[in-house]
Amino acid sequence: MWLDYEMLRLVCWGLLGLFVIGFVLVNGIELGVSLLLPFLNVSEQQRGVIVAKLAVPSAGNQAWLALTIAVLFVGWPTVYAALFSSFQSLLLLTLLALFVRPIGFYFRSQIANDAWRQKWDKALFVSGLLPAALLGLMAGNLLKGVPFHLASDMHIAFLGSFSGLFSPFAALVSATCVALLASYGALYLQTHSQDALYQRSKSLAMSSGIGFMLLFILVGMWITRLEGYHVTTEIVPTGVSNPLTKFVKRGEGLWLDNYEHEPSLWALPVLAALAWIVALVLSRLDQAKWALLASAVTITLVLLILGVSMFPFLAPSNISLNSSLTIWDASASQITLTALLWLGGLLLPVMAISTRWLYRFAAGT
Amino acid sequence: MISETVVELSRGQFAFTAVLQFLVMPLTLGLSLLLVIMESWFVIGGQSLYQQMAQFWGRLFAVSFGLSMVASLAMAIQFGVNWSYFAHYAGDAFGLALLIGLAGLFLAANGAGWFLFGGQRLGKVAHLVSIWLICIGCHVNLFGFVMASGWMQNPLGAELNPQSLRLEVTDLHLLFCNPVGLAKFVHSLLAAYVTAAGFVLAISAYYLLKQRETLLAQASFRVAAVLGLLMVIATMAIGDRSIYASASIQRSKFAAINGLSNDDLLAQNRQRIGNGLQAYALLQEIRDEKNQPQLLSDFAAKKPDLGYALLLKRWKENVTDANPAQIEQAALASLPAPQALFWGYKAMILVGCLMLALFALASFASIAAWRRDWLLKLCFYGLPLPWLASGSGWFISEFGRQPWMVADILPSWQGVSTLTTTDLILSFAGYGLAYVGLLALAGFLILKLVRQGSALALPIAQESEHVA
Repeated sequence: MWLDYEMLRLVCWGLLGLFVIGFVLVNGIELGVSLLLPFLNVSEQQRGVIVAKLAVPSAGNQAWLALTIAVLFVGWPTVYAALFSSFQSLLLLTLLALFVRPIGFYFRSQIANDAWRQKWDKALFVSGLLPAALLGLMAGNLLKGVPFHLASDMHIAFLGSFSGLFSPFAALVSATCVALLASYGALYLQTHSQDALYQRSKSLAMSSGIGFMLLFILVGMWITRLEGYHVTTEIVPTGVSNPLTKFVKRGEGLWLDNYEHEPSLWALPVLAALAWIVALVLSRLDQAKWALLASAVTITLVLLILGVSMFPFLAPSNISLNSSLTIWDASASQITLTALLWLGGLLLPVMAISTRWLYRFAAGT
Repeated sequence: MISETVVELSRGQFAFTAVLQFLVMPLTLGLSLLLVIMESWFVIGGQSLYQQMAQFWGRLFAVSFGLSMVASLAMAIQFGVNWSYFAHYAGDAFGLALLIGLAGLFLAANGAGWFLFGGQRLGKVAHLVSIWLICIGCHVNLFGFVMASGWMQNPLGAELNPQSLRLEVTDLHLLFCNPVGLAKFVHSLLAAYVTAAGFVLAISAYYLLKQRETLLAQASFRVAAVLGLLMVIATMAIGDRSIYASASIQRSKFAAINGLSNDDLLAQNRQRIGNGLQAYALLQEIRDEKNQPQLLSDFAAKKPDLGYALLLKRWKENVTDANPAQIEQAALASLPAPQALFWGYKAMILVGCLMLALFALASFASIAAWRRDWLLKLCFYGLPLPWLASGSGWFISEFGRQPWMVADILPSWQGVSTLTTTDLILSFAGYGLAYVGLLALAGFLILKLVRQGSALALPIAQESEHVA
């Protein structure tokens, strides 16, 4: 073993983060462009060209989702178990929406009839909007805490309800996520289009971008008031994974705890805001490619903020505080984490590069 | 206590996803191999007929691949959604194989992007590379999934940690050299090749009967017949004994499929339930007073039988209070129903022999240019045979594992998530409708593509570019 258990957990947490970032960056383009489809001022045929470009990396993007899930499963089996059984209804809807995508890509082009194509455009719009909104909703619920309970034999019980997952805060995070992906998608379109479509995506990027900025600030202000979580007993980062050996307290503003202990973390939200302003300015100045890059940096930073604010929690429970799961007490064993690090560390660059190639190829079609 | 309905619904949903996976995964994998053969032949030999073949079968492959994606994604979330206790209890050992399987899926999906949309823009060689990527990806995908399911049959390389109350990996090497898993992998790999060969054979026979696409159909018929014959022979030669060689659950299966008596197994399991109860009691003590060396060593001796105590959970929440009648009930339930396995196995062997005859005749007919309509009709109606064979194989493996989810360790009963019946019915309906809809759609697309034949139709990307 070249890393002790503590470092291993920390590094694998970073790996999970990179997979999530990769997943959002590659799927964000597909979802973002799809949910803009009805708002583009182009002919049905031109829309067809856009849809055809999206179809190329689509299967690979779904595999990103599957692998990100698998990395969570391997690294933190109990977190995977608790979150997925709690979010089962949201996941069902997400998956059903994702299943529509390949069907839409295929059938849209089969009949050259505007009414037919508009129907499929709507289906694709929903299949882009729904996953974006639901992923945001899940993120919002993570910050609020998920109503699950761990029994002494580690059976996981979800004690909430479907409607309970739609709290105002979670809905706000969901809207923020949609706005972010919409402007990300618009910047991608701006990079790869000319003339009228170029102008249209430029203005869409600006309007949804400003929308995201406002929503993001709102979420940030709410988080200072939101009840965060904190482990009150001493953490043993090299201990056995048993989540039931600690005490957790909840309190207003506790999600800012990490920033108080480590003030340099404040750089993250500041940089995220700066990167976003840079992205919008570059888009305005017709530097679409660089604007897209800056927006990708923003997405990365936003996800880092989510992870760092919650650290060391992965899945806080709001109904049974001590059942909350952290990276230290819900992780896989040392051997499995080592294997995950090798495997994931090898996969991630390969996946990132090959997806980049495929997107570049798709842009040329 | 977990309600019976929840267990049955969770099982039903899992079976549904597994059936979809089992229908399309072998076909996808087998077709990818046939495509590799055809494209390599074209690139090396330069005959454009083989390129035409690869294009035509590639379109059918796309449909099957789309469904495989759906099934894999559903599988990736299913364990957490419906089997959360299993995910917690066995995830440490089970997840790695799943991760490898999904890595294969990514490779195949990325390759499919190039293969399906590359068209004229990719050179010959680049196109060949893309189909090779898909083929390798499909193999890795099958390897990961089968190793995961093989581990559930024969859980090696992991041990229960009483402090974290779950299985933890102790030996990675053992995890990936699991003899049951490896034997199952070879077996299902060969079965997948046979499935695709049967599929191509049936459609080619249909064309030959209708006297359409004759050149393409003749060549495809020959490739499929010969490949199918070789693979059926290989499956039979390697056999399946090694799958049943180790692990007690495999022994009970072996007894069932051979119609042997299982009285001694029953007596043994009764004994193991007794040991399991002691282990269970020790486990509670260990959790109260951690790290007492005497307790730990006592527990270590009884640990392998702990799962047998969990069998009792179905009748008694606090298993140490179970009465003798309940213990007897659990012992009886610890063996799979022998009748079903016995006949399932006979069915698999019978179908295997039928396929051997069919592929042998078809190979002969194709090589000796011996055309008989009845043989072509047989080939056409033989389409479901490979699925019947592998279906009975999967049935033996999955049904034969009952009542266990992880053999000797975790009963299916214990593995489920504590969801409400309403939640489960709704999600069952949701996934069920989606799967049935997608399967119907796939059937419709395959019929359409077969009717359309080899002449067509550029891939979607170019078509729309054409219009624009």
